[in-house]
Amino acid sequence: MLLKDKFFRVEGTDVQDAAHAVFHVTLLADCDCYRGHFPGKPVSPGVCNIEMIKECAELLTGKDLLLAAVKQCRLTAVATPAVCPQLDVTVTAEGTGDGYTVTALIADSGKSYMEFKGTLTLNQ
Amino acid sequence: MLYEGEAIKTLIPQRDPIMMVDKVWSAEGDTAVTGLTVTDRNYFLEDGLVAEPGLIEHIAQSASAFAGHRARVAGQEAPIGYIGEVKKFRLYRRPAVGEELRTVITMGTEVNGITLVRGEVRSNDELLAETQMKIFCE
Repeated sequence: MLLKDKFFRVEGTDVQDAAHAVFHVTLLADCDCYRGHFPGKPVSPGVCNIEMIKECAELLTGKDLLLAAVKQCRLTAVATPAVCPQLDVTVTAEGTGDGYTVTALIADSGKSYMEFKGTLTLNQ
Repeated sequence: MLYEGEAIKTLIPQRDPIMMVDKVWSAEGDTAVTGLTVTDRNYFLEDGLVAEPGLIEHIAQSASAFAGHRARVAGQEAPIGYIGEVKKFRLYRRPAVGEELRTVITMGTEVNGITLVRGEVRSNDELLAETQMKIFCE
């Protein structure tokens, strides 16, 4: 995986069933992406949050997946490892013919950071 | 070619290792054409291919570079842009190291600091990915 243990670390997982889980993650402040995003002002790149959702969906389904489509992904607040180091990534992955319809939410007790609806397909 | 390599740093705040645009070919009216050579140092490289979020980031930074150019032309500083929303992203094929990406950015109207942007990434005229996004400028 691209970003697991580099951009984020999974501290614990609450698996409800094969299609629903909440991943408790830590944003890693020493990730090298912050050198360039931005110098002197670390801001978690929105696309890294999207990749984090994809990797959590891979952990939930046990499958290697491709982000084939994003129906809508709203970035509702700026995330930084200093301001919100602990986040919950809630993932729902409903199986389709060739992959999963995924909805996800990145949030902490204070607010939501990302609302995601997309399609992940099996990477073959 | 309007901007290439180091000159791109005057347009966008992103730096190594996550700078994802290295050329601005043209910018006229509401359309710009940007480029990126996929190298083995690409931040989103996985199994020799640029992962899908990397293509979204390339489109977002291309839009920021366009906004930065427009700001410079108007005598202002290039703004920091944040992605507010990604909509209707479709991946067709992930590019490999050595491919030359050519991306068309179309800017919509700005309302309250939020601009709707369309981006299409091609390699040798083959459409690799496309998306709409809303960019929010500080």
